[in-house]
Amino acid sequence: MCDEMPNIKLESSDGEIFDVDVKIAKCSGTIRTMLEDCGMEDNVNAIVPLLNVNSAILRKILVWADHHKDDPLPAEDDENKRTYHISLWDADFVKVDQSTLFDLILAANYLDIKSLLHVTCKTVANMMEGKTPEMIRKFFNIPNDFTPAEKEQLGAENEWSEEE
Amino acid sequence: MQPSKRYKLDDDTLKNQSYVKNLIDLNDDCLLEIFEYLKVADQNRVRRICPRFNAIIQQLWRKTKILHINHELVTTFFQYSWTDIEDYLEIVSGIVVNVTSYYVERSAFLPDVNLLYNVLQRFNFSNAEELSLSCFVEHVPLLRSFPNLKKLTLEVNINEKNRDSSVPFVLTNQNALRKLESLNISGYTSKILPNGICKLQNLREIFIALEDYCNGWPKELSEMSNHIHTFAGRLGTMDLFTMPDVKVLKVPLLQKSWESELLWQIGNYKKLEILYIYGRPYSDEFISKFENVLAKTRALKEPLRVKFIQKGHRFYYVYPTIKSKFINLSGPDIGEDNEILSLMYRILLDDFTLSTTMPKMSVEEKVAKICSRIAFNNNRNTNRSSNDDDEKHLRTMDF
Repeated sequence: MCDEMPNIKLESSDGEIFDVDVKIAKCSGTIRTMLEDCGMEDNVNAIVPLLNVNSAILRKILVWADHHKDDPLPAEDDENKRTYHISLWDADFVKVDQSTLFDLILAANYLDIKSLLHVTCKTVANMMEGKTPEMIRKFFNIPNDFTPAEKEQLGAENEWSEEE
Repeated sequence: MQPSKRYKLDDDTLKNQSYVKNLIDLNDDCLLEIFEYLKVADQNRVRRICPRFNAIIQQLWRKTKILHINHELVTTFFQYSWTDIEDYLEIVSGIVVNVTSYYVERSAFLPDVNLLYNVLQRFNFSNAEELSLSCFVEHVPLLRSFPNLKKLTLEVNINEKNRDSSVPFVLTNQNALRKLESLNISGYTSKILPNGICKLQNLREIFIALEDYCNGWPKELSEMSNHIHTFAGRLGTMDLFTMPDVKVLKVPLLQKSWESELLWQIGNYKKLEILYIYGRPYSDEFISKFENVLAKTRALKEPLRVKFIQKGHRFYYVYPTIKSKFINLSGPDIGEDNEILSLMYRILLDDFTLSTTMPKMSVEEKVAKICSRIAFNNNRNTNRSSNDDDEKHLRTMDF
């Protein structure tokens, strides 16, 4: 491989083509595997279609990937999940509306970008912390579709929601 | 080349997305990832949001390998809701591999410990291989809920109410604990060790620190000693056991008098391969005495490997390695020290209460005890009569 990394082209779900440094694109496990397994690495003109990521989200993700391009790959360590620390830059990055945040989570999951998935999921988890079920429903606009029988089974459901 | 700089964040583009996403639009994988960051208390609340979340939380709970049963579980996590605790245990009990329960009866505002143990007894922790349990005598039947244990750490306390109560014969009851390989037991009475312990045919490791030994347990242990590989305990009580086939021994050595005790007992372990010592720095005099005893008693040709772990070892005093015909002395291997420290902590913690509650055994009493042990030894195995000289030598040693 030559010293200067080549570019590859990523195509968003709405058809926009992004010319991206391979090193940045490789933040994504999905793209990494695609390039390495399919021998696309040498093919400079290859276009990688990303069917589940629209241009707005892809643009945002490339900003993330550029900032984190020199990070070591995160270790698989479930033990540390609950104490996972979010850096200032990352915290600022995920200060977006809920819809964008969920789009980022879905894209991070699809593109297999572990560090971004951690930060975004932890951010959502933080929003849920200490809230009653009813508060969480209101906060995220989630319908309560429990049947009366299921409510009965989960016991103190009503007390929970009327508490605060 | 920094292509990303070409892509400036365009908020208008973000706002103009065709569809506004909701939390419930995420797939189960993503929701699992989110819920994994929550504490059990929050996970328990998330269950009540909608049936799908409930199912995902249950899926998450099914991944639980380690379960800590303590005050926090009852108070903080499940807000004293016993229904919720039962729901949780229903899901995790068949899955968890490692269970610890340190639940101390401390103050009035805490829920009754009996309530918790009564609930626990209704479940079968069929997958649990390790259990650390701190409980009172009447909770010992709880062990029936753990039929496949390989390692049991049991710290049994006695409260005022049941000081004289006897313990159900759970430890050795029929098939209970038949797979047990390692028993780490401490407490205030040997009543927690009913007769019949020799039925535990898979037992290979015994760590023991008890206040008194009032039944036939030491004798039973001696009878099964041929398959015990590792033994640990306090020197002051270990002379009650006869375990000539033990290969690994772990002892604390914090006082000068314990050194004599060790010199005096080490000859009983003729096939010992490794000795772990946790204690204060040793003297050259001690080492030379130690070698003398080994020279007279050792049955193996190889030198005894002694691994020394100094008290307060975190300051990392590295012991010089000593190698001779009889002894090979060094520090612990990487990773060994923590295990020894936690073991010794348990043994010694008990020793502090011991010193204030127990009258010290006089030399005469000790000699009487040792004599009876030697007699028992000889009756058991007449082939070992040649050991008598060694025993006499040890008996006359200064302690």
